[in-house]
Amino acid sequence: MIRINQLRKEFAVKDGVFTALPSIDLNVEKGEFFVLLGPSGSGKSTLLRCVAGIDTPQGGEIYLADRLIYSGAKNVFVRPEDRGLGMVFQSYAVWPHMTVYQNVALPLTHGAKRVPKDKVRDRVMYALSLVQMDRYADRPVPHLSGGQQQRVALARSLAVEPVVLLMDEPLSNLDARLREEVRHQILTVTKMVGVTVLYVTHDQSEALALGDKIAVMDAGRIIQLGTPTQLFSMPATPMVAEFLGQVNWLKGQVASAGVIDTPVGRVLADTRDLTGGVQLGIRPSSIELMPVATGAANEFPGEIIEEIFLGEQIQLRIRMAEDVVFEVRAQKPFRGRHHAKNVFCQMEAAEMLVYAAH
Amino acid sequence: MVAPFVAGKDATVVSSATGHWPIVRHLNGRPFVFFLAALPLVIVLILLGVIIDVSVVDNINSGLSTSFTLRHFKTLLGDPLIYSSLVNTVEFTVVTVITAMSIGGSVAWLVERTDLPGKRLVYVIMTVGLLVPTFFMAMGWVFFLHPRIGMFNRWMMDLFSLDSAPVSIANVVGMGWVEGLGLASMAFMMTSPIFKALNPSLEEASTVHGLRRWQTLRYVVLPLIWPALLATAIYISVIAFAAFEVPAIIGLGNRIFTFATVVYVKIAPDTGIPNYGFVGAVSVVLIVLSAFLSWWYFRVIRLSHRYGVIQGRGYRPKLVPLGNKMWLCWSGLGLYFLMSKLMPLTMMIWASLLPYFQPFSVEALSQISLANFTVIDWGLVWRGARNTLTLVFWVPTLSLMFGLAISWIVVRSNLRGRFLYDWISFLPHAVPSLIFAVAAVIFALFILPKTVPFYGTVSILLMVFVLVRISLVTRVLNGALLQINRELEDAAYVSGIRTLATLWKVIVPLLLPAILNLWIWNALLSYRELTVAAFMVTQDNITLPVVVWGLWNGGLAGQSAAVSLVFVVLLIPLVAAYWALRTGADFQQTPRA
Repeated sequence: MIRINQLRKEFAVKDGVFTALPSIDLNVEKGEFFVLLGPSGSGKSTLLRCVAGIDTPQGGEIYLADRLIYSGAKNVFVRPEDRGLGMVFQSYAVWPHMTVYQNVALPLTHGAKRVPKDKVRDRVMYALSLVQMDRYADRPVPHLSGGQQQRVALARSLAVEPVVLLMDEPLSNLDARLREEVRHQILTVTKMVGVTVLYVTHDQSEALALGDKIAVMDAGRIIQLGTPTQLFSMPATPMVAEFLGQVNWLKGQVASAGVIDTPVGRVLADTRDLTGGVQLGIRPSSIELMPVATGAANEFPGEIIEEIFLGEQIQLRIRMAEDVVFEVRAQKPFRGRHHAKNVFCQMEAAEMLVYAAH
Repeated sequence: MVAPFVAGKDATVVSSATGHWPIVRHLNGRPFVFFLAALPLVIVLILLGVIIDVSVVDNINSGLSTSFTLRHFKTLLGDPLIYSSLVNTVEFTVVTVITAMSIGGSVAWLVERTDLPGKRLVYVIMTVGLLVPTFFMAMGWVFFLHPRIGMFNRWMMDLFSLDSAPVSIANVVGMGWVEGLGLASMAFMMTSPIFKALNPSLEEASTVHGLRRWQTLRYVVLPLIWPALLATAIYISVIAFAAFEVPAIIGLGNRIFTFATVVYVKIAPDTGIPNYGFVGAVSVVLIVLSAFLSWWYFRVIRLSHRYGVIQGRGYRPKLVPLGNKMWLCWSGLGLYFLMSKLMPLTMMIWASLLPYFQPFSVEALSQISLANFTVIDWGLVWRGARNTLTLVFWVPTLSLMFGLAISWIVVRSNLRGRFLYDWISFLPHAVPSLIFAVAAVIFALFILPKTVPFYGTVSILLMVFVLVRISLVTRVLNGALLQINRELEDAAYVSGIRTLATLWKVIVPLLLPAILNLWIWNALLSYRELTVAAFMVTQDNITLPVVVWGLWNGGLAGQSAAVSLVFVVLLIPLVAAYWALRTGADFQQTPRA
């Protein structure tokens, strides 16, 4: 649905040129919920804005449903209004001088793809019903809460029956509770309508929850592309691993295939074809705490040095060796006062992340 | 509920905004906006080019292709009138700035930083002040303080048996005083945000650490607001430097010239033909000096932003309790109102009722009649009123249309040359408006083909009126546009709405308060505009202020006063509309003239 070839975007800055995107290749399938994930300044929003046509790239090509909408070489630039898109913005960008209904209707009555007059009302009300905002149709939008405004923005972008729906950090202006609610709504509505979505976020839980596919970006490049489970279990680099969730790091030496010597002890893990110094990553979720030794593989003793009560979980800091402290999330049995107690950490060999040391 | 729609489906699309006619596509898109923005700016550059050209060619009467010469500048240097008028202009400017800043600044401080009661009334006095035409006030002061006929002087001479008038308005200081009274309103509006924005915690920090009130003022407050005050003073001096109305009303009859009136007598001489080359040379000097003031203004403005004194909203500045001094302050305000509004109005009414001007007396009362009103050439007044009202409608409308296009390009587009748009749109402020008037006359007379009837039409007035308004309109709209989140506009494009439709359906409604305010403000300024019109009118395109000016200049003070009263009466509905619209609005949004 979206095909991007060698897209290049530069910004003129005070002392020269800043290359936001050196050369991006990307392919989004029809009906896919595609997430661009990355820290701020990674170029993900720039990429989205280039697809929207709000920013103009300096080179490369963008196809939208097999239609060439941008080409540096062929000097093609289709204006944003002619691309047939829908977009949801971080700031909602609902027009504050209009009602909910008028916001959704304006693109249908004054946009490039117009709808017969007698159809407008049905379309608007249907789009509003998708996000449960139909009963607020006549409210002026400034009277709505942030979550409601963002739902209006979603309805507006769906009502134009977009080729692709673009979403630029739509949840980051909402508070934590609303975020989950609107996130759920985005997922159900987009799946129901079957629209192709390109979604930008810096929040890994959003990306993992929403994306059919995720592209992790850093410094204007796509570092890794895959499904949420692929990314989580097999992050291509330590940076991706850290970006998708907390990781405890261990330095080690490959003793033989599948065996790594670490300050904690001898660890069994898939070393693939790595030799010499490695970096070993263990997610808190891959560590199981045992009150007593069971003698299982990859089980090491440690001392609880700090505990932080998080409500449903408890976060423990465990000293595994001199200079090695693990962060572990513990469930029910470990609630209570455990300070200075000894525990045993069992680590799942299959979930170990192994990288060459640098 | 209707059937669910399918994403990407095009079945229900009935029309595309591109349409079948290519012209519609162009009108609908950015090229039209770029054209709209470029048109007035190109004319600005052409007119400035004309003035510079005129100053260096031998004889404009024989066309553009004549030979290069510096003869006009040599004449200029040898003309004693130029030196005396330069001295006069500088002195006039200094007196104006001192008067305007000390009145406007004190009132602003009273309103923003003290517990003065009746602040709303002060706003009314100060904002309405900007709408009372300066020429009206100047005429009132002539009737009051003229060395020969001035009412005050006559009283004093009778009372104390003096041989000559004790005070006279007919000198440079007097002119500066009147101009300063007029510009005090603007000084007020420009300085009150400065006092309002100063973070009171900076003062409190100084007080807490043991500095006395005057020390706080000297070491904390003044250093912080000094650049902003200086910038305001320079801004006002730009206006005063090229002011025409007061020097014309008071100075011209008494042979006291400033640059503006020198240009006037050279382009509209009582005898002989206009010396355009000389006018061009004076204009170039005037442009250079004004441009220097504007450059200085920008330098100082940048300095004033450096401190970032503006700390946002959400705090209430601590107000200085006035106590009994409140009465003193209100007496001062009352005196200002009397001198700038009431006294001139009274003088004008009195003058309009008498065959020749004389002080109040039983004898004078017996001569009161409406004779002045009956002998007026009402045909001329009617023509002037019609032309003026045409301008009052079209000038704000067109200048807003052009201004919006320019501001949109400057603030929103990613056009490479957008800074040029910004820069050129500021020129009509940096360059005195009378220069554009003179240039337009020369352009219409000598450069346009003789077959194009442009000179002496309302259209030529309209063109220059709009051009000189562009700076103000774009400054205000730039600020207003910056307040509107860019994503609101992007959202419109991405959902398929084109540039013009986006401007009309999204940007204009959001800017509506600013646009309405600017429209009325510009309508009022166009209504009272004398300077530009005085340089350009003929019998056909005469405006109401020029009728007043013409009668005054011709020595018919009584008739002139009568017409100016008609003028003021017609002003009332406009001011009322302005006031109605402003009710509840923040008065500080009032744009600077």
